Amino acid sequence: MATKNKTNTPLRYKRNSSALKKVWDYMRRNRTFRFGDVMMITGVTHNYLKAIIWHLTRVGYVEMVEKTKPYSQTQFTLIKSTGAKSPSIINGVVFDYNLNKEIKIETTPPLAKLLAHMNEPKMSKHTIATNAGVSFAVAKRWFTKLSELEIISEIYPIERVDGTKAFVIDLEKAEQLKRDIQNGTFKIKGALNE
Amino acid sequence: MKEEFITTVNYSTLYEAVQSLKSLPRSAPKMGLGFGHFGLGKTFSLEKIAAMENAILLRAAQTWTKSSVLSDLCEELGVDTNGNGPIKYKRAIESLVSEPRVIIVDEIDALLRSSKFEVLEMFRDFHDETGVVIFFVGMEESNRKLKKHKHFYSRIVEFVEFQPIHKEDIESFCMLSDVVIKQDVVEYFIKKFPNLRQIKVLLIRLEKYCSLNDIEEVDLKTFKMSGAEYGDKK
Repeated sequence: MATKNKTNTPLRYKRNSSALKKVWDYMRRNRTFRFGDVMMITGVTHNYLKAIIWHLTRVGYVEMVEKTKPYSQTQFTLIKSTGAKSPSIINGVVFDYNLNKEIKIETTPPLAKLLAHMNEPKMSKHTIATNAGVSFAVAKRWFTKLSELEIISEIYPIERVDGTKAFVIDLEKAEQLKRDIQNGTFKIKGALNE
Repeated sequence: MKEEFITTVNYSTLYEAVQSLKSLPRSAPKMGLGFGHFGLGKTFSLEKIAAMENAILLRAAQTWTKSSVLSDLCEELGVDTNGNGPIKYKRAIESLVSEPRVIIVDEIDALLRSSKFEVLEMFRDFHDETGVVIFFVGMEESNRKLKKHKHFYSRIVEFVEFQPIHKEDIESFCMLSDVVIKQDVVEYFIKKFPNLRQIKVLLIRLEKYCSLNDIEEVDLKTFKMSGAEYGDKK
């Protein structure tokens, strides 16, 4: 029986690697990198890369050097290069296969942030949102909910604090809601870190 | 500027060289050498090829030793990096035999001193034992310097000399700009800045100037007036 002479055939190279592996390898080789360059080299989409960088930044693997406009010009630094294996990133959980370690991203939900900054009996919605670091568009949704729960109520006649319309804050009810969120008894979509 | 990879003439030549080496039979020598001046897109091309081919891209440094290279290689191959040199070498060989991968060594100039040549010899051993493609890239002198080592040079079968940036490459690059770059500016770039790294900086400065002054098209006169050429030294 004739056998195939293997020395005359080319080698079969291992070519396939995931998009995340490509991104991870590029970041390891170029510890300070530009967002746009990673997109160009690895061929991943803007949103995909943004999600990866967001997760890696939250777990302290990547740090933004300087925010530039447009976002693709922004530079980042890979602070922790733990090894050749790319981490797995699934919905707020980063698993580092080099260290065999799971890192959960702890995010404070906007409602908890807003409640934490309701510390005076009369406050404007803008002050609460700004102090809490929540965008007004997001905060507005929660203010409606808090009005329904009678934690925030309007004042008649209208009063102003910091140049904007003031609202009465029921500090006792706000405190109770904070406790309920912590205990898990207050269940509403987006209010908890789930 | 749009974020898009430009398939330059130099990139295409390099890519074809790697493909040609990959298609050679197992027993044939499969080393390649790319060389040329700075700013011709060598490193960027290598990054793209490494991402596409799942290649191991190593950047040679003055501090490289046989032991450090073996550790780096073992790490990239995903095998244990503990143990002494011969053990790591054996592990790397086994991994490359079972799952062949293209190896690319950039900045080879750092290994062309007599004291570092033993590191290059180690790559030759990897090549001879596993038959994988090893592609070296360096500055323009690397070809001349490697010629002195005949036994090594004889294994190099693909040579890629990086050429000055072509007109078409500069044209495609200017097309990525948010403003329309007229032909006379392209001609000026070809004459004065045959280097994509410099052109990129010029285009970014030019875009800033155009956005401030509400300009959509740039001819040579506007380019000169913008002061993009001189940056902050204007």
